[in-house]
Amino acid sequence: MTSSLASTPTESPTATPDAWIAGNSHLISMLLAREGSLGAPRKNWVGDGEEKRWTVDDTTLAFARFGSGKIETEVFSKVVDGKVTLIDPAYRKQFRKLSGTPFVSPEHLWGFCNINNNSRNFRRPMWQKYAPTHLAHPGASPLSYDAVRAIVEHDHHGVRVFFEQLKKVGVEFFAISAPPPRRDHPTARTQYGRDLALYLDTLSRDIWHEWLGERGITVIEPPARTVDEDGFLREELYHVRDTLPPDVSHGNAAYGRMLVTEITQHVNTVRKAA
Amino acid sequence: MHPYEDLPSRAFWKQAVAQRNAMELADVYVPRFEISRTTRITAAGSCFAQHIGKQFKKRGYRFMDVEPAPVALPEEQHNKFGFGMYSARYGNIYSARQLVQTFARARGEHTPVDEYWTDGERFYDPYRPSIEPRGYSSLEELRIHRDAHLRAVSSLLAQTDLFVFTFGLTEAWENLEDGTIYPTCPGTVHGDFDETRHRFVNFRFRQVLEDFESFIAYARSINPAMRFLITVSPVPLTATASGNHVLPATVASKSILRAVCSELHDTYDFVDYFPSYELVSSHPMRALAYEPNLRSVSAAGVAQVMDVFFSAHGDAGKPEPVREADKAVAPTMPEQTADDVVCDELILEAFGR
Repeated sequence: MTSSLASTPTESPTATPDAWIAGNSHLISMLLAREGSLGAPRKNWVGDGEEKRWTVDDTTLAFARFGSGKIETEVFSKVVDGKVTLIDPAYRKQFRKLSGTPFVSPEHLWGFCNINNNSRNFRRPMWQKYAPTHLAHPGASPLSYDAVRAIVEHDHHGVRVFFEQLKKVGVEFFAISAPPPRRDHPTARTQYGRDLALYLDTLSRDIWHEWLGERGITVIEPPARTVDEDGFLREELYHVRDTLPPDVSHGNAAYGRMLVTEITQHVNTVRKAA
Repeated sequence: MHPYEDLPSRAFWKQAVAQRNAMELADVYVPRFEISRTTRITAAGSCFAQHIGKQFKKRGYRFMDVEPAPVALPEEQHNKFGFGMYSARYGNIYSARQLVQTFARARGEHTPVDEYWTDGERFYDPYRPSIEPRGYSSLEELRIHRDAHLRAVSSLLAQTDLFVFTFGLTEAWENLEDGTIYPTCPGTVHGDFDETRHRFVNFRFRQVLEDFESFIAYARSINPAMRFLITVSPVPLTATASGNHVLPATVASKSILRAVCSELHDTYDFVDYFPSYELVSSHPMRALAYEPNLRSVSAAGVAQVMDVFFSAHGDAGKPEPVREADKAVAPTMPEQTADDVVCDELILEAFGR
């Protein structure tokens, strides 16, 4: 798959970012895209939180990873003196490396890649004992739509609080969704698992769109061409890790390039509006 | 010499009650049999019974729950969907007749003619109207949930050594055609009231007794060693449909239930009675355990009552923590109840004029 970027990206260590992109492990596809496009060797970017800048079509994006998405279900941020700061130590450390401050600066445009990390939910062992009503099977207790929705909304809780705080203090930002489920995820080995993963993923996206729409927050979804006819991420966009455990959730550089295109388009729109 | 000379102080009102702090009565409850942490305990009853179940769980007893909440459902949502209230998601069971019918439905021996309520868009289970507050999207979904629930209930008694039941009400509403008891009056929480199909019943002493004895017989046919712990809810009627003033209606109802408990206790050596009703609602307590609405039992009141129970069983573990809000005298909303207990009949307050 070729890059869909309009022009060649350049590394811009000194350029002022037009947007700051932060989030969980799903940043990997964008960082791989950046490194692949620049021909730069892959560094140990996963853990170090080092800021990466990338200029595409005259738009400079700064990237850094907060840390694991595991903590996103719980509150990981708070408002201090009118600014949003991260209370999770790991997130806080990485964030300081990115921005130089412990706060989410209201001076910047932010993109947060921390919604729809839905494998966190559908991979739970509890789904062997419980199932959404329409997927109920012998041995699994049915859960109503409202109960499943409550579970999904609880999964969104920490990020919702974070976004509410950002809105409250006037930070301009948009949200970036994680890719759809992958067919090679262990959950998707059975028909029930595939149905469950797609159902929970769709429900989560619907709920996020509803919630973000009510608050006027833009969400950047995986481009339609990244999704196959059933709703899974297209196989050629899988990130393949050469170490164990295998990666069964993330997109690769090609996916990242397509996502960055969407992001830069949005950032340019915001810049023009400003 | 006469029989009163050798009686312990607990037998004398002056020493046992009048000269004591009402919240510190001694030996008010002497257990008839041991309840250990290996005893498999099942609970059902009116909303006050939720306190008992929660205390068993908090203190590490083997409380049975055949329909536990999924781990990913946040705890604050459990009550909303009827999880963790009792040993199954049957919601509040206010009367012995409703209890008997619940287990008869579970074993397929009673199929109510009134299968569902609908408002044209959503479908509601008439026998668990509060378990899914928004109801179900279709009759098919209702049936899937109902059948799964009844399967779970049918497995419960075989896993039970001690069945805890709190008698709540004598007043109920029944289906005229087949006598099925509704936990709430049709038309209040959901459904529509139809006087040609629904009628008010106020169970008499003999009916309550026979119903519970029939439940005992069935339960012990499953587990011949099953024991029973019975209580009466101290929560007054929210409203009465008897035509009487709600105060004498409450006293009449509770008196019947209390008398049934004594009859059962005196008849069967495997039945114990715990006087939570007396510990909350009798006049020496001066309504101290009630919220300002004189109906809801405060968390402090529940803690005191449950401490008496577990102390009598030799368990001096931590009592239910009392929230700061409950220590204050500030009035609370009348619909609030201690520890987020779910009381379906509270909706009747909304109809008061």
